[in-house]
This record gives sequence, structure tokens and C-alpha cells, in this order.
Amino acid sequence: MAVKIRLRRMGSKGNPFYRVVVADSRYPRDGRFIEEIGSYDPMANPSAVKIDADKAKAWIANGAQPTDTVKSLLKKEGIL
Amino acid sequence: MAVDPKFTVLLDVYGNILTEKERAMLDYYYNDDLSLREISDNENAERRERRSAGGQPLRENDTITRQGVRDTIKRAEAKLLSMEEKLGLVRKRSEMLGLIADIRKNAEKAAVRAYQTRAPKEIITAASDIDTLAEKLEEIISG
Repeated sequence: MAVKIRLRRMGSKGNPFYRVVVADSRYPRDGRFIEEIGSYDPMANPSAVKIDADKAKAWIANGAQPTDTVKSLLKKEGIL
Repeated sequence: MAVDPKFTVLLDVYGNILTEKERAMLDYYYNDDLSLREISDNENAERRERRSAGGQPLRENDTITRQGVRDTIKRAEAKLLSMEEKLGLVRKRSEMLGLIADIRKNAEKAAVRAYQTRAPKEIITAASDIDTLAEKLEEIISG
């Protein structure tokens, strides 16, 4: 099973807020996820990123693929 | 190509001016963080399904490439940006919310100060009414 680390939008209209989740790549839209490992609030100033570094590293070591956006957040947080 | 959160808000506000297809692709891209490849794969699977449900033969050229998805997204983004340039709803909304936050802070300060200095009751009530009204305005604007 291919596993991805991606953002999932929460929050209200005009006020986005994302969860960073680990999910099966085959069902990107059905809302299921394996684990939530953090959050990203782009509306905060500066934007607020909270990611569990240990979990992120463990998932990546096990072959999970972060999306481009998640990758850039991980780099910003010094996890990658 | 990483997600720019600016477009998430523009999509919320101006999404209705886009075609259904453009809106769906931006939604996948910005709200679900799907890659261009995933979006084109999903779209092609959907087209295949529609064709076989309609009893039509599969056509090799009725598919969209990753590049095609990218072009659609870029075109839709340009539409959103030009809308914001003309109407400025997102900018105005954020400016208004900032001002309302200031109003509420001041109303609260006035109410507390009026209470501490034993000012007439109408002043305290007026200050807290301002706060309530500003809160309602905030709710309307953030929709």
C-alpha cells in the first residue's frame, strides 16, 4: 500500500486551516486517514506549522511520500 | 509546485466565476493537496467510467495529461487573481476584520474603565453594546 503524507483542509470559508495527515494514496478524497501528525495554519501571521517530527521521520523512513507542499513545510521546520 | 494558501481563500470567495471543471481541479489541488498526476489520473478514471456507463467505446484521445491539468489550474488561478484585482473582496475583508478587532478591543477597554471608575451605567452598557454589534459584523463578514 502506497502511503502519502498530505494536507487536508479544515476550517471555514475564507479561513483555511490544514491537518497534516498520513493517508492511503489510493483514496485521496474519502476523508479516511491513518494518522494525524500535525497542523498548518496559513492565516496566522507568520503561518503556524506544528508537526510531530519523530512521527514524520518514522513514516518517511517507512516509505511514506510527502506531497510537495508537505515537503516544503517539513523543510521549513527543519525536519527534512 | 507547492500549494500557495492565497489561492485557497480566492477560491472560497470567487470560485463561482470558474467553470465546474476548473473549480473541481482547484479544489482537489488546494483543499485536498492532490498532485497534478493524481488529479489527471482521477479525471481519466472518471471519463472512462462515464463512457462505459453510456455504452460508448473508449477513446484514446479523451484523456487529460498532467500538463493539461496544470494548464487548467494556471488559467483558473489567473481568473481568480484578475477578479481580486478588480473587486478586492479578499483584501477588503481582511482589512475590515482587522478594524473590527480594533473596535472590539477599544469597546472592551472602555467598558472595563467605565466600570472601574463607577461611570454611569449607560456608558458601560453602550460600550458593551458596541462590542456586541462589532461581533455581529464580524460574523457577517467572515460568513
